[in-house]
Amino acid sequence: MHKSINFIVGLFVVFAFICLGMVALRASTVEPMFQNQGYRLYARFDDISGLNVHAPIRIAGVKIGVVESIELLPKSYQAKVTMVIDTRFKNLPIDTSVSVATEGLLGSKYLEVTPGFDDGFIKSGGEITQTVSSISLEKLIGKLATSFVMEK
Amino acid sequence: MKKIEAIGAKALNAIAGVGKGAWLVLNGFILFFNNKRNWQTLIHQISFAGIMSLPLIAMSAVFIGMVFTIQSYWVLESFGAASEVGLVLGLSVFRELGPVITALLYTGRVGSSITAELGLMKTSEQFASMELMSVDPISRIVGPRLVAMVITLPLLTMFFNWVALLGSAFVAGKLIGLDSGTFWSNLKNGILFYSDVLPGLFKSVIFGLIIASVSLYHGYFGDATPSGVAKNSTRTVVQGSMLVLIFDYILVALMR
Repeated sequence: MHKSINFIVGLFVVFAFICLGMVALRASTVEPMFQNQGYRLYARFDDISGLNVHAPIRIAGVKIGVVESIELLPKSYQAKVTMVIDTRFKNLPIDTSVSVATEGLLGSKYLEVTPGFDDGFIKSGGEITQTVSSISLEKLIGKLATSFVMEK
Repeated sequence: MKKIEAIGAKALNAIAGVGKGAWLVLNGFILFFNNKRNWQTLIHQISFAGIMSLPLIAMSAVFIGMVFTIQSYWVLESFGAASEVGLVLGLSVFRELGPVITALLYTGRVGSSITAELGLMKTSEQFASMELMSVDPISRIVGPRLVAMVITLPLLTMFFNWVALLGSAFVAGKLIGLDSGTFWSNLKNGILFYSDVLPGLFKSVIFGLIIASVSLYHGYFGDATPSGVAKNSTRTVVQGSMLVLIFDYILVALMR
């Protein structure tokens, strides 16, 4: 009697954890710890509106890291973005550029890294100097509208 | 004047009740480890509180998942975002519906019956006779039930989460006819395990502690008369559910 109830309770506990495992595997992303195995790079942007902390960083559409922090530089009023990038992609050329891109027309923002062709590599903790700020759809439409008005 | 005094007396009683409850829970936890035979009682209690609740939890989870999917599909469809159904369901189930609804069902099914059980034990003076035999009722009766309730609620919540998802996948894939590949991949991309799933489970541990304290308090200290036992099980359900919802808000506001 004791043994069978012990067995059933054990089964119940294992079953519950299998459910949790299924949720973890099939229905959610177990965040990889980029913080531990990644290295940090910095970039300064004039405008990063819409970009959030933990936003993905991609090369050719493949995720290589995440945005760790965003802060405003007090002197230049530029936004300084700290990126954590997987160590497998350590050799980014010096003339690599990074731009704020959008998933789809109205989707969330991410950072698109375009590797350059220089022979030297950016060191860990270095800065990506070539940056392209975010393009806001509202500003574009505004510009378009005013240009039409100007022409007339 | 009398009325104001009555309000004051009620407030004092409530505060004293919180103190007595905290004392009971603390003692239950500590004294549980005093007796090795408690482990077998714990197994029996987990079987009662957990395994016997599985059909109730499973049925509720399936139908909540199904209803939620249909409702959100009707709304999302009008924005042309029907493929996001899985993500909407997953986020709301893992963060809120799973822990809270499991806790509410658990209060009704397990909390009330534990209050009634302890109340009847008190009526038949089982606690007094245990004390005569120098067996501590807090260690033998309260401890295992307390630990079992704190353990089983998160387990049931894990179960609820997965079953609700299956119900939703069934409705979205088979009845509405959405692409099930998109359904699962949207879920997988949109939901983060450490920041969406685990906080929900942490909440359910706290809920388990709350429900256990409320039901054991009313069972152990409540009136040991037939009408008293009836009132106490009602109080367990009412106060347990309200405390779960209040603490849900507090925990969410704190964890953000």
